[in-house]
Amino acid sequence: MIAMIVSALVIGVLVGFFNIVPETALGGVTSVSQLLLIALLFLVGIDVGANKEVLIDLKRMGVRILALPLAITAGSLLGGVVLSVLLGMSIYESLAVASGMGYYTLSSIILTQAVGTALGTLAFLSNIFREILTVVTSPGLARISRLAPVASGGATSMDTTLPVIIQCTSKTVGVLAVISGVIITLLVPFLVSLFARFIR
Amino acid sequence: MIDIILSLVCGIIIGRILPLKESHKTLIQKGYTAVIFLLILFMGLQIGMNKSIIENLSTIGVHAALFAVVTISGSVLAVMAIERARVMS
Repeated sequence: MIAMIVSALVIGVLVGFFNIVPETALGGVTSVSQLLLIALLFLVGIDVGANKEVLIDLKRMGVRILALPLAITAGSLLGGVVLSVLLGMSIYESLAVASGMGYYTLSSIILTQAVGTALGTLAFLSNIFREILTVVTSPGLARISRLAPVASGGATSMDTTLPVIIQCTSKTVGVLAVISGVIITLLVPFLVSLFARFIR
Repeated sequence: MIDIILSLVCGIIIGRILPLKESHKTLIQKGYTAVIFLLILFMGLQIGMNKSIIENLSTIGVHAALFAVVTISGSVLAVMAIERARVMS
């Protein structure tokens, strides 16, 4: 998945950079992207809605389960505040990028369309780095705390980083990782577009 | 923002109501992958056509790495705090 996504991006950048596509096509590309984004969220919704196991697990654990994704989200947003000071960025731009939580496809697409390509690129790279770092550091993080790899994975703990998380922890943590990842995945579009509204 | 939320909610409702077979789910996954591929390709196009981003790519890369490290640290510390408070036990 990651290889496919990186190659799609590289192909796109090269085609754009060497002016293979005429400048006038840019408007068409932008409007088709907006329709595709709506289609993407519709498909994500069907996938979550059809997953009965996830819905049953959620009921059994009750409200306490929400503490995990909420803590992960709060921690990332706090990181966003720190980064805003550290890099001298606007607080809303920094929070919009930080609230991607590893969901690089969606957060970068939303920010590219709502704000611009520069912030979209930052969101794409930082969230792809988050996923790669999670895969690399999970064995070490699991020794510090059993839920730390789930925290690091953010939205990706429901799919791409799940195998690594289960391998480094346990099946029980795996179930928590899926539930937490699903909730964060649902939170990401809300948070990213919320912060994007305050930019400028 | 409204169109994003609406399409997501409609998807969840339809996913719950429709009796989806495994073959349908595979088809949805494939459609999902195809849409993501196209979106990323188009995003690449928009980046490539914007020459000022290409010129600043090294700065963006360093910032992106910092974002990844600091947001991960924040999330890990927050989760360790709720573990210590025994919220998840």
